[in-house]
Amino acid sequence: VTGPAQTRHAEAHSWRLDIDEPALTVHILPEAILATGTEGALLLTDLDGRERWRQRLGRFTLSAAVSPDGTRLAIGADSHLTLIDLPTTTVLRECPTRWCAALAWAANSRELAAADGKQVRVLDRVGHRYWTSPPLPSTVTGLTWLRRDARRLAAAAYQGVTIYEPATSRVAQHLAAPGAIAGLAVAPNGRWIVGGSQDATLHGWRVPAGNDFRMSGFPSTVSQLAFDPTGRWLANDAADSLTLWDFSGPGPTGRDALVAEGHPSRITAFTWARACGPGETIRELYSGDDAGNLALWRVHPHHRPGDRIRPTGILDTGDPVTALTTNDTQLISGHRSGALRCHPRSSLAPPRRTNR
Amino acid sequence: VQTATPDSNTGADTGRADDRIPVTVLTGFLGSGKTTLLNRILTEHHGRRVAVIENEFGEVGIDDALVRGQVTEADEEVFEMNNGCICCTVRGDLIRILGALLRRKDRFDAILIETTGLADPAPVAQTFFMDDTLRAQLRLDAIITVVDAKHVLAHLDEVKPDGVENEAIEQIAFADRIVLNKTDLAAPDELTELTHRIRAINASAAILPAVRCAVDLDDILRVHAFDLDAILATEPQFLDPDTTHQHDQSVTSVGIDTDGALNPEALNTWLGALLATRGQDLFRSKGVLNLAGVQRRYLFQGVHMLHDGDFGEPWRPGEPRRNRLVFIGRGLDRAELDAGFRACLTTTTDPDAPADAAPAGAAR
Repeated sequence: VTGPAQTRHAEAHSWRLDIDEPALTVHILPEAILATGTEGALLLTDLDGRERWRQRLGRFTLSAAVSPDGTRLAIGADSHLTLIDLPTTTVLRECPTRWCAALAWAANSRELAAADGKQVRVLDRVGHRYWTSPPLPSTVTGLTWLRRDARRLAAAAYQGVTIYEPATSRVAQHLAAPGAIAGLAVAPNGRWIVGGSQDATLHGWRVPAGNDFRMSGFPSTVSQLAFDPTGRWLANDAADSLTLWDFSGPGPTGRDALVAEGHPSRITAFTWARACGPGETIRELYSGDDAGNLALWRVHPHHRPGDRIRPTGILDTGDPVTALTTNDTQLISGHRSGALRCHPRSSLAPPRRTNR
Repeated sequence: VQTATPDSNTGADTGRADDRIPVTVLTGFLGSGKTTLLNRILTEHHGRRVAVIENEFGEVGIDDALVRGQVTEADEEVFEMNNGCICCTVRGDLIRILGALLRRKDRFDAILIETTGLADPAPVAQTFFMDDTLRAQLRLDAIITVVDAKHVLAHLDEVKPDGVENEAIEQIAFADRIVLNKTDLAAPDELTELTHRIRAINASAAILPAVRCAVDLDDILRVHAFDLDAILATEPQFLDPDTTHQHDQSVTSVGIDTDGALNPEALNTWLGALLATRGQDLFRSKGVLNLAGVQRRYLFQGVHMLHDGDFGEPWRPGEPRRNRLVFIGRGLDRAELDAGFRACLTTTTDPDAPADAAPAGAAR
């Protein structure tokens, strides 16, 4: 019998599949793995890498998001938004849109926020639009729901982040920033919003107070940023290193970054793993670079702002990494070559010591 | 909050072959023949796969190497960079489109961007200096302006209200290559006058006369237009001072051609101050320079206050190491620029001697 629980705890093995075009996103669903490609490829496999479904949408893809319950896939492009029911692998709806590079599912898997040029649309899970925002100053570059209750939605664009309440059609708050905001992250508790600005800074706000802070000195524009599942650390890419900011207590103001150094090349993707170790106090982060290296980083409870950490393990695939995701046992990397690789998480960790 | 990692390095490294994808920017008024040139680039067998971003940067489909934009002009997304300079703007829509294009399959080895007739070329060009991610993968190869030989004079003479730029003058000022199209429709004396007018605005751009945009595509694509050696080979006189020109608020070129080695620090200070104070009026600056103690030529190009430099080929044995640069802008003072530049030359005659920041010769 191979139930999901058993599959999850079984030791993963390596495998490789191909989508024949650069991977855009990879997702681990409860019992499947999904990959999307930049030219419209979709591939669904089981956790062991056995192919289940392969499809090609007739257009290039800008964004893809799977609902938290794993049943819906939204694909954004420059002219359409496609909504797919994953259990039956059927296209539920194709809506014409303008540029759609930002998508966000609410935690309840019932609402989908999608960029549509300069506007934000909220759709239900069968793809019916029920709310449209007024236009923002530029094309929407980032979207995220503020809390699990899915009442408030943050949208990033030129000159800042706007927080909407779709149910009342109200602009709850505008968080002004001088430049164009690209990446966007919200702390799990909904109290911090951070955006990557075009001028190679991070701009952050404490909500609802709105007081803001800036983090600078990055060698290039920060486009990827993500809080760890507990909300203490915010990680962002900074060329060939990652910087981690401590958001515990009063937040990052006045604190140095924890710098993760040792990637041989420019970081292109990273993902937080579930906490591990005694009392689940060690945070694990996986990253990939444009030379094909995968790295594992461990942030221990004793790590402090200003510390520097080195990778716990590095794996060289030789194939530029474009997408990355992980679950308890597997690390899935998508590559520029079109390869989709599964690595047991143990392949990056140092050999385990026997417990005494 | 503290600085993160100031020492990492993303973009244009020195000392390695530049394998970045060249980007050609095509400008010109509606009806000048831009589309004709575009179609020639797309249909002729020139052995290059060119991704074309057409008009308003609406889409990135590069099937059949063609991209068609649908967004209207009102949708241009020009972002200010908030670095204290009002002329530092980039095209946010272009960053977005190129970012998506670069994520896609390697199916092109050049990119051509067609801008609308009225678009300001500066934010388009500056995008390639300002956005680190793009800069690491792309290099601005040349700005090509297509000019309608029959009608452009009327556009050049058009009087604009204060503070409004004459787009035709601006497009000529920014150009590295000017396709003088529809020469069959203009009388010879019109062409002579037009050439003179273009030269007065932009002395460094090569002028390519054409009928129905029939130019050699090798003069358009992958031309490394910021390398002044190429233009000097065809137009050796372009750096000569235009003695008839008066110092006023019109757009002109100032060329400087001198031997001697430059003190890099003095040059940086002078160029930095010049671009910071006059950046708004300086449309283009570019040059090939001989830095003291450096065996390779130094190539630089700038748009308004932003500039980008890199080491090029080594100087050949016995070759005169000359500094050649050109500024194109509004209300330029030749004597001041010349004196400022000469003050950056080292006093020593040994080109390999260490730099010494002693001001030399005043304006001649």
